[in-house]
Amino acid sequence: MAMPVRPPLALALPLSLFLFALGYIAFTLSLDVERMIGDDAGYDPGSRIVPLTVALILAVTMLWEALKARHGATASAEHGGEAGVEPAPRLLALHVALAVAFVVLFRPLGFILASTLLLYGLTLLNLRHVTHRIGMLGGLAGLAGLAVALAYATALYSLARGTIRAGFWLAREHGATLAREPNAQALCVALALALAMLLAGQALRRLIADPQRRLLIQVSVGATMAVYVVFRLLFLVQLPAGLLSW
Amino acid sequence: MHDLAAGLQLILSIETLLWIAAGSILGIVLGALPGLSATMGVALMLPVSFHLPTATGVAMLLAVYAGAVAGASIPAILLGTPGNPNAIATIADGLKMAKQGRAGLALGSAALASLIGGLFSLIVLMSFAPLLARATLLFGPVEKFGLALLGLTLIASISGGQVVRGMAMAAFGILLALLGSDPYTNAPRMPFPEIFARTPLHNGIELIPALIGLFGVSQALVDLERLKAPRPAVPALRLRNLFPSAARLKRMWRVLLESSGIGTLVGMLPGAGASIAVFLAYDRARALTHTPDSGLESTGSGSVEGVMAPESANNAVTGGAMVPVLTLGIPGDAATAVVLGALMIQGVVPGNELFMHNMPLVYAIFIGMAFALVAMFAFQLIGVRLFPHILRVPLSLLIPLVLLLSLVGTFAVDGQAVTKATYNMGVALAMGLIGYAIKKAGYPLVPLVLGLILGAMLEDNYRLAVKLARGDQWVFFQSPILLGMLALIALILFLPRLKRAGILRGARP
Amino acid sequence: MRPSKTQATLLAATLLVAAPNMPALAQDWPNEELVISVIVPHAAGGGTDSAIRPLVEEMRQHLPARLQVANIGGAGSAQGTDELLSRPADGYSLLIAGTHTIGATMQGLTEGYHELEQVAALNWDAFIVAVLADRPYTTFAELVEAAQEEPGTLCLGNAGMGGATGIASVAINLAFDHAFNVTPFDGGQNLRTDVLGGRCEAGIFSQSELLSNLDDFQPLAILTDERSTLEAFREVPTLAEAGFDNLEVPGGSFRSIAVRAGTPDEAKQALAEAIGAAYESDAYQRFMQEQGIISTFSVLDEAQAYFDELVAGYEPVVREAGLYRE
Repeated sequence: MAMPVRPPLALALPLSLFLFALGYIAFTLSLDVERMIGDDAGYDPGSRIVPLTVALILAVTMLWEALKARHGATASAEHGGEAGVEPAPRLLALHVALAVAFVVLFRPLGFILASTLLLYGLTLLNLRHVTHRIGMLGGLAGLAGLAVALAYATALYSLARGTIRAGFWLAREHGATLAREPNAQALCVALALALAMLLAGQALRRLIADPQRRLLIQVSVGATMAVYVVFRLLFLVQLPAGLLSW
Repeated sequence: MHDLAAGLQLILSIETLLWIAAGSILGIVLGALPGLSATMGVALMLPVSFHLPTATGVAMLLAVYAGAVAGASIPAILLGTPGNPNAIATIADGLKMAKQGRAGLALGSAALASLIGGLFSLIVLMSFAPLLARATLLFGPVEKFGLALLGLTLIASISGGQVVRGMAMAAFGILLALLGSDPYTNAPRMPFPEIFARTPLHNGIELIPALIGLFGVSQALVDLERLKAPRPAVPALRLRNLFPSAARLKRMWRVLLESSGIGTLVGMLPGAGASIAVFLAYDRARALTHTPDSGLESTGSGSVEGVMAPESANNAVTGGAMVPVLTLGIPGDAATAVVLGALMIQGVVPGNELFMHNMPLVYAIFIGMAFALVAMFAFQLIGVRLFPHILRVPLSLLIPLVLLLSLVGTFAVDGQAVTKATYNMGVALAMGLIGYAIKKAGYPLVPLVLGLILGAMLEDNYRLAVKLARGDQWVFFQSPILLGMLALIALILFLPRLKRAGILRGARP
Repeated sequence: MRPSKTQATLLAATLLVAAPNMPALAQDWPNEELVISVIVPHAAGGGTDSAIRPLVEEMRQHLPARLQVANIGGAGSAQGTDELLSRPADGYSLLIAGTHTIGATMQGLTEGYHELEQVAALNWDAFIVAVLADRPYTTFAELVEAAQEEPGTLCLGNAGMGGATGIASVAINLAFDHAFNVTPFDGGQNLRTDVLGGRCEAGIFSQSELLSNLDDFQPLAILTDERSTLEAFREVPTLAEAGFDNLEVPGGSFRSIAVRAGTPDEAKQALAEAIGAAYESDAYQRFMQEQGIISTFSVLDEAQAYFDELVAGYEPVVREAGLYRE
């Protein structure tokens, strides 16, 4: 029995877009024609004409390209023969999977935990891909590092929250309105976190031997906290708290 | 001038200057790192700009862009690899100069050229835009439709010489943009209503998540293939004599003027960007420097002219590209498409209205751009010293960071509408995957983006034009402006074919 | 104050259970850490937006929480309204409602006022029918005559069908037997550009939209019952004075602040107080005077009653125009 052959992208893309265009045409025809409200004389050409025309253009062009690809005449991707550039399908799939998990878990887990997880996980996968060193980075050691990173992030987050609460308290009880200004709070929290991370660095040195793993933890947690300061404190974006509901 | 003072007030604050500085630094770093594109940087900063006052946000985005364009010259000169396509033409002379031990001069000249090109195009922008904006009073629905069509055709035909693919991508973008609801009756226009009606997606695909997905996520995924690329060794730098002498600069005035002019003009054409401008400028510089008695160093020999020409052109593209953005709402290139997106979500309506009723904002943007250029110049020189350290930042970390910023940034744009924001993250991811597939198949991405941005403009104005003409579909051929644009479209589509048939004697292909 | 460890754990546990159901932390409204967003369902720089931002500026001084204006335009005012209706009814999202909400809801574009509670009734911006200064018509009657000569030829533009100008234009068109080509534009700014450019003969504008181009336009009639308070438009006749006193047409754009139905009373009370204080401020009063905006301030129950009356008044007009959809 012949193995099913996966068509290369140069054929798959125009083919799928061709089908998309056909589907779009069918879909547009299935809708009623809409005209502007109050258009008694029917001057409005209607809601179908532009989508149909454009979909037709897409269908024709993609059919053309699909036929060209079928006859093997097309050149494909950009990177040709650059040193060290090679496709990495498994890594890509893992990245996509983790990114999807991130989006799904963003609200239940909360920003801090989800982001730390994403950064740590993806960077770990990348490092393994590059160095092929399973021992130091993979398996149990990797998971343990993740646990440390998550706990670390939670601790830093709590510190940040404490600082913010203190600021609001100062403003409320002692009239120091500066303490609840977004910029001021962001600055205070940034300083507090930086200090904490310096101290934590010392603690980590005693906990984990491998410098690369230490760096991985520091960077993934640090980047998460930096994004938190910028978006939550400076821009007042309501990042979901998730599990860390304090 | 009251408006100018008001504009100054909008932009002159410590906070703004800090953001512009931060944007420049980020841009230069992004530009210097091979494998990360300038447009990606601008797209990632879009959510940040959304939360800043309009002028500050736009200036910051342009600072990122200008920085990335300029920063790309650093690895081009030192390593022979461009940080992004903006610096492809800088390699020829830049690398030679580095090998001759004149890396410092090359880097300094590149920075200076970037500043000159950027300022030149800013001046053109400042003079030309208000005039053009006044002329847009003549642009009604008929002409706006023509403009959207012109922009889309241009980008389709300029994209790497593959007109059919460009057209297809533009069409795809338009179709995606039209999904959601009818612009005039709000009637739903989404397939599978059972699935989508409850979700925020019943409004169709939003522009910002799509932009971030197409430029941010897809680039990060593509870069996964570069993880194993060897990290290049940076030669030891002796940074003295960074700039050419004043007398030298005076001798090259024509090279500088023409390169900046080329960059500005190319930028003004919707869809055409720096990759074209740099080669045109380099060619021009070659012609100018190879004439005997020009007193200039010939390009190709490791000449300062050969570095400054493309570098001034690529930064001049930015100012030029802002002309159609501010006056007509049509992007000049991919990065300014993102800037246009930023203006749109801030509710700024480009065109006559902007220049008639919101001049303070326009002035603020201009002044911000000037600051951005100065910051770019200042930080680029610092960036050169730090370059070896910048290169050490591993791609293994950068890719996840870009993914995180793309997704969280998308979320951040919708702030309190948590459900919508979460769905938008999914949209960004999905568009990222589509963008990845498109890039891998060798199809151009920019027409898709333009289709997304201009799709609504195309349909809304088509219907409005015919409605105003009382149902007469031939109204489009009664407008002289539109006929002119159609002629331009035809010219652009058929020019390559005419050239090939030898009918036209033109510049070398 | 930082809770002790046991307290923190208990709190965390309780919140973990309760969190999905809680719209905001159990604290005095407003929680100063949260942001109150004011949704303006039109593009920035438009008539509604320009009239509201000064008020929001003043409000910042009377509310401990932070205020942010969000412009969400589209489909008249339907998209911005829908956005509000998708958010929790906790008082942290406000909608600038008004006649545009009534218009959009009655035409079936959104659930609109069926799910809204009025917090404060604000003010009115009168509608003025205007043409370019160089046009031959000097009165509203002449414009109608010119339209009736060739029915469907003369364009009568509005700022979007979802809004009150849309309904007004259709109502006028009906009264004169479909003499005009009623055309919706995407907002007052686009309407102004196309009338200025000569592509549409006449437009129904908000008074404030004409202020910046006084010389270019010729106002023919003001749609409110009384003449304008502004010097520049003192001479413009009302419809009744122009000889059309039986014309039932929305007279202007009314604005109010509303929240989603079910918002706790505590939040509404606090909001009403803050809005009131901001409204009465010198700065805002002066602003309204300069723009010729007609003040009709009231809060809570009174505001709701006022709004309901408006709805009742609109219904026959919208039905007449054939625009009413459930």
